[in-house]
Amino acid sequence: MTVAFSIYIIFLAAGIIISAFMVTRLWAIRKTAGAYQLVWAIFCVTVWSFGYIFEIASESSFYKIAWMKVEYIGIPFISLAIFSFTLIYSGRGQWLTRTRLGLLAIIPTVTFLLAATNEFHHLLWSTIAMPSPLFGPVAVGHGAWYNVNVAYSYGLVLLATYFLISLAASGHNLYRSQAIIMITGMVIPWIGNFIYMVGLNPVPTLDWTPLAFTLTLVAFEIGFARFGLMDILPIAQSSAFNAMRDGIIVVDGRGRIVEINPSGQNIFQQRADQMIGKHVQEIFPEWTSWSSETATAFETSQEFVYGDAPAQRTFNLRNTPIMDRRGRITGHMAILTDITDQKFAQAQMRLQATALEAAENGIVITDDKGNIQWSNKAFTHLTGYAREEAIGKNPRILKSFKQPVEYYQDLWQTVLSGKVWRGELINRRKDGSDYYEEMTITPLVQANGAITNFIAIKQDITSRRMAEEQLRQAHEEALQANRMKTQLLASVSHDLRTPLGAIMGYSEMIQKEILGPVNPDQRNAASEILDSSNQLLAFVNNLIGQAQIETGKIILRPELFKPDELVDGVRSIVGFMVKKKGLEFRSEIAPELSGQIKGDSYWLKQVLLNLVNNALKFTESGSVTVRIFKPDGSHWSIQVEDTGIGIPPEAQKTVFEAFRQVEGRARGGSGLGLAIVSQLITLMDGKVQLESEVGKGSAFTVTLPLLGL
Amino acid sequence: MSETKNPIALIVEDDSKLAEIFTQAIKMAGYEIRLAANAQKAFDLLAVCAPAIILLDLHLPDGSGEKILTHIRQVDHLKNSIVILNTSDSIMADALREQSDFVLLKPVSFSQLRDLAVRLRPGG
Repeated sequence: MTVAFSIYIIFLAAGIIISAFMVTRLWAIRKTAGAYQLVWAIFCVTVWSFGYIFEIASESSFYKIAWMKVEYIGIPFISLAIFSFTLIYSGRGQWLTRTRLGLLAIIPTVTFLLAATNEFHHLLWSTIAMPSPLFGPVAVGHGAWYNVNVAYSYGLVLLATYFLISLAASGHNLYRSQAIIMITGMVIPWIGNFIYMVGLNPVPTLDWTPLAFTLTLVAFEIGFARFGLMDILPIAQSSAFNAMRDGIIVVDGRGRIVEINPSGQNIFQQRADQMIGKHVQEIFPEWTSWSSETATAFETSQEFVYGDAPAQRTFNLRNTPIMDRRGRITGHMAILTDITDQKFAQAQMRLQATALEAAENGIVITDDKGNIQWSNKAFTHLTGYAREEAIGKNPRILKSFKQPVEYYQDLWQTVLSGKVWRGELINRRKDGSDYYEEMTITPLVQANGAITNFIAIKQDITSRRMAEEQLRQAHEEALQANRMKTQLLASVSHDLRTPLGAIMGYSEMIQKEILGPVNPDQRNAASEILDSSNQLLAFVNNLIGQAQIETGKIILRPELFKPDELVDGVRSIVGFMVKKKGLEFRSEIAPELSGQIKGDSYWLKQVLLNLVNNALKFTESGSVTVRIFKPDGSHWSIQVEDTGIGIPPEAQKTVFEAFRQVEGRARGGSGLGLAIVSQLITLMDGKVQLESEVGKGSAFTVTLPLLGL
Repeated sequence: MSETKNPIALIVEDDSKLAEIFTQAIKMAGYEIRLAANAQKAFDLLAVCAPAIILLDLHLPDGSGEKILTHIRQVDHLKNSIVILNTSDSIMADALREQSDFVLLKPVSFSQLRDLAVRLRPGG
């Protein structure tokens, strides 16, 4: 027996040495989650082994009991340390809060305190029997609390074993072997315990447990340290699973949801506990590839839309079958990526690209050197160059060489300084024909000031330019025609006036007997010649007036004149006609206008002459009266009233239109007279009014502003 | 000898018929007439006499009457001459209105011209 005890002490000492070695190794990787818990476990077992050595070796019962109590610094906490380690190691570390650890530590702490004070209550050890001889372990009877401690320890170790097994079952290959090593270590105390329970223990009083736990911890340490790099995986996997922006749903072989991450919960707007255990089709009917019948062994992907507008989102679903080691599909995992924004951006880009391509204007995008990178259909239509031909080329292929070099230099200077250039170009198509284009070049300037691209928008303005050219030509021709008309009128005027001057001059000389005495018939003939000449002259003057008004060449020269001279001038022209028709020509000039007033006397005389000529033409008996008066403080009026045939109301509106005569009033004449009156008076800022009654006569009243002297 | 007492009137007119009518009218008003049918003749006459009135046609075969008008306005011994423009071109007449004393638009009535000449006769 003594030999067996001695050997066991050697084993325990070796265990302590190994533990010390393990602690040094673990110290290097102490930052790894679980390392402290493992060190704690090693410490507890070491304390136990250490105490046990002295319990066996001590030769006094006092010391033996004292060492037993020392052992209980470690024993009650071993299961808690191992439980904590496996909990963290299997990725459940977040469960182990300080409070929970504190609560779990109550039973071991009580155990420790009861061990220290056992002689007062015997709750832990009911009896203590010293070996004989004294070298050897103490045999104890189990008190009430002893069983509590055992149950507690078994429970925690059982849980730890479960954590490792579940880890090995679901984990990654590498991780699985790690877990298997640890499980192996975990099995040793169970075997030791089994032997102890069934009474196969070769030395019945000797407790193998500290040695068994040492071996367990060696296995843990090997698993932990050897696969050091992998040991954060479960935690990382768990964090990644929870933190992933993609939704992840795992279903088992029967389509029941077994796991869903927070993003997934977010997508379906349900909590995990509402979904887990339900059949996937209840929650997520869009996932059609969830079952192994429809799925292949490979990853597949599909798009689906979830939710109602406007919160509707589009997802990409990647379906990954989960297989066991023999390649059988045991479940499926769906990864749901929200591609709504991506799809929207893609659609926008497609839309923009379509718009650019379909635009009516030619669009060219070049690099910073001006080499074409892209062009649209309208560009091809405009220039004849297909996009494939244009790409890589410089837009100078379009040059027609019809514009000066400076024009292009200005263009480049503008765009290279980051400004927008607008202008017109004469360019040459691929087939050699020229066309006009309007172009806007916009440089794309980056935040650092560098220009990366130029965008040119071109519009074909050839037809517009040609239309403009035609319009310009037509305008030029019209101007030319107008100039010729003016010139013609000037020469007609000159060529008519000169012979008229001779006719009228000689007639007057005959009439006034300057060339010798004439008889009454001869004098009358001379007067008729003069009268006709005056009619002709009035017409010529009207024609010239009309032409000058039309070409805008008429110049009004307001100057002072006497109204009575104006009337006398007209009277002398029409005197012969008045006398011949047996009419009376009367004039009434208001006394306040007997002095001078301001106006263009030449054209005013033409106005009055036209009105009087018109009155004489349509009056067979009675009189023609000219009145000049002030209708109010700021105007003056010329009124010509006759006792002629009158103008019917429907015709009164048209009498002022050029070359028109009222039906039934055709009495010779151009119809120009009243039109000229109307236009001249409008130019003088005045107005013409007509009052007339058929059979009684007409009165034309011209009202003009009184001009300042 | 009585002719020398009369003021001189220069008539610049290329149309002989009009020239005859104007001559008759102004002579009746009591002037001694000098007649020029072209611009050259007008310049020659203006160099040797200072007419009281000058009836100036603007349309002459050897140039524009405008030149003669400018000349009259520049030469010192013609500063008292009254210029009556006689033209068929109303635009032209408008343009030269400021430089001339009277503007008559053709055709000019015999009695109108005679009356004007009477009115302008120095001392009349």
